[in-house]
Amino acid sequence: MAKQRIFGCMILLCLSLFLTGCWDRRELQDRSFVLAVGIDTADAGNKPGVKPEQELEVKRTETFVQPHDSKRYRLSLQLLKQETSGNKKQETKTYVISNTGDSLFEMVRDMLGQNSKSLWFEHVQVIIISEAVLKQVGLSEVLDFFKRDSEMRSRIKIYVTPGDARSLLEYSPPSKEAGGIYLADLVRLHTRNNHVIGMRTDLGFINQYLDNQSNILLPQIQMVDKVVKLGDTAVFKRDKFVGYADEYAVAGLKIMFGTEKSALITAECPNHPGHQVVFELFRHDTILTPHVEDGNIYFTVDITMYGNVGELQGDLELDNTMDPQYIHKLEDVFAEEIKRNVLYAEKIFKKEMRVDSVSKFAYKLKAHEPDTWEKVKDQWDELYPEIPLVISVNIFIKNIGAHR
Amino acid sequence: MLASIGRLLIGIQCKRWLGCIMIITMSIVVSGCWDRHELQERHFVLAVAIDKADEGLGSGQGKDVARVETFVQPHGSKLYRLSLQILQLAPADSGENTKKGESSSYVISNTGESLHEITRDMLGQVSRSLWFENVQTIIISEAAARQGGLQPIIDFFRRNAETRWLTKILITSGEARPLLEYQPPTGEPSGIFITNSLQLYKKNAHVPSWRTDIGDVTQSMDNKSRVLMARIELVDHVVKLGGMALFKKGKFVGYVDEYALKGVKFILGIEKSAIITAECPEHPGKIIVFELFRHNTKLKPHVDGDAIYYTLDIAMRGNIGEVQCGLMHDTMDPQQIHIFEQLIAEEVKRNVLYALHTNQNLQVDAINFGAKLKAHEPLVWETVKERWDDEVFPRVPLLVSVNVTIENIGEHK
Repeated sequence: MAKQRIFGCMILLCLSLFLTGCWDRRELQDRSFVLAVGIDTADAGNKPGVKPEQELEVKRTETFVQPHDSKRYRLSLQLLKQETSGNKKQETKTYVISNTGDSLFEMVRDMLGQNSKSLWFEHVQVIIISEAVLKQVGLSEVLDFFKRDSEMRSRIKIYVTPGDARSLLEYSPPSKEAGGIYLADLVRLHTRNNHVIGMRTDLGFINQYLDNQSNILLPQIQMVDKVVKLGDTAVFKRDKFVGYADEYAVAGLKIMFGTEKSALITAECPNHPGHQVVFELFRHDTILTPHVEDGNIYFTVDITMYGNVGELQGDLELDNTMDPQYIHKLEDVFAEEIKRNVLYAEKIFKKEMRVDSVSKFAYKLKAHEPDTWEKVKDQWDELYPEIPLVISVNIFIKNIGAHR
Repeated sequence: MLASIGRLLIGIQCKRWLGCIMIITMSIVVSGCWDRHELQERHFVLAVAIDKADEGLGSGQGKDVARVETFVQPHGSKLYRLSLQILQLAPADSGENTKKGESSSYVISNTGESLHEITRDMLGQVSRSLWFENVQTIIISEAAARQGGLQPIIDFFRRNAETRWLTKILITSGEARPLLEYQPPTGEPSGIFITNSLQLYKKNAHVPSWRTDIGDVTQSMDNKSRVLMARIELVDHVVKLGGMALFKKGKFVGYVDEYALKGVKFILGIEKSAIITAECPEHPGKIIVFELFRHNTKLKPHVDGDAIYYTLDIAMRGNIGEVQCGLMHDTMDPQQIHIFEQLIAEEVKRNVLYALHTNQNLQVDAINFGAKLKAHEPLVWETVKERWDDEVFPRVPLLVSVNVTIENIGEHK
């Protein structure tokens, strides 16, 4: 009997070991979620609305003493406000804290002195880097912290802004979402918006590109007086910032690489100059191939597109879309326009910037003609701007819209 | 027969008496709380700020207010302004008063010389009694601390039975009252905000973690040793903790910056995690960052004849946190890692010596060298303790040896 009792006690004790609960739990309300990160130069990105005479003092407070004597960056974090009782009509869902220093990691830790909860980076949506920073240092230097820290996710979006990154974090979108989420969602519409370079621009891919030493494209975001817009692209050679390419060049590039999902192609009506006709792309078949003939390298791109007539602003009496002749004419016009668009992208990227964007041509050559690649890979940067591209475009208009 | 009936009756009588007595006795025991304090009938003080009497006027308040917020006292002068942050228990949820972001606390203030007297006079400004058991932070302005030393400010909190020992005590170079009126974006009252922020010391080496609450300050004062206080600053809605202030014999001595504070933590071996940055020798201006995970620190006093010296052995293990030289270093290369380790060790050494010299220049032994000597070499301590702070400590040498092991290079690389 006594033995059984002792045995029972032992079992109870053993069982209780498994019921101890979470010793390393972290409560949701005890951490601050970082939604967006902004990186500026130390002298930019001041707190908006600060009186000029206090600016210096604010700056002196928002930092720390460090052994090496330069403050290069200003790091701003957008944190989620957790709803306390009552305040339903809060204007913003987020607030911004900021710090200056050299090492991003050290700034993050020093910022704990500005917040009551520890900072949690697993939900960062977007990193915005100001152009001024990228003019001073390479992209890999700025992103190194995000690369090594284990809380960062690969799907964080990265933008470049010509203005202050901090002001974008302070922006509260009219849709009342938290700012960081709003900003990150902008780029997700890239499949339908041909003006935005969206494919492979998140942290995971950028890390891959950096490791492979390829060139990089990042979407550009601008804010002017409460108007935020994503468009254009920042072009990087390896990790060095080169400049911006406009929306038209981005569209051309996407068409050339076949990374567009849907696109609108506008052209002038062949019969009535001054009126626009629009082609809506549904499906396409794009093949970019390198060729080597007697040591000469050239590329061909064959584009076949299927789609609709999306809009026709001309006179419908004269331009009858039921007429196959006219449709055929439109197909030619659109093909011509696409060719022009691709050539424009070629001009911007190849001739003006001399950057093989996302090293696409290099990879193609390496894959298809490895022997030639071995020979030219060391002078590729000089060679690339001289390589010709032959374009052929084929367009099929399958439909003329729902109602016509 | 009769007798047995009589006995029964007496028994019943007895039982009845017994019952009555029991009921009376029980009613004494279950009489409830005669000295209860209802939650809603007291005012919880969340934070206390102490300024000089002529400072810390509320925003937008004139001199007239200062005249009302005080009392006539028979002697002395008006030295201090005491401000209390009080929790608003039931924030009214209708009307104009609850605008967005309205904080759930408010501040009252009074001036006088005795802090205890001020708190009692403040009862004329509130409708319920003040309750000090939940004070989270005490903030002292530098001007007030310089005015009369620490003793008159702290004494009330040391003697008051309602003060808890873990209340954090901080110092600010500006006025203390605006920190109570500050509304943190997180929505909590600033008293709670500040103490929570201080508790992140494990990750933030720029904040003192130890010996900065009321209990420790009391102990330090009783031991006649130095007093440490975390520093907080408020400029235009930006609040920041970092660095600390040192007091010796109740007098304010000076501030220690974040870098020196980190060094002090290294010497004492009390850092949990730390970020150590060093400049890359090959690429000036670019930073290499080490994230400390684990360390083993030993500080030892040695006596060699008349000479006293200390040795500090630090072994650190951690990660590479950031390499800003871009792709110019291959962190997979053990040779490269070894170079980094030496670089970081060099930087830790510099940091430690910087902290030591800061302390020696201020002639304040915040790094407990005296206590170490007393424990290890009590006889030597007896001979030097009189002139420790002024003569011996400022000249005592420290031999530092640092060993850094980089175990990992980060998630993605």
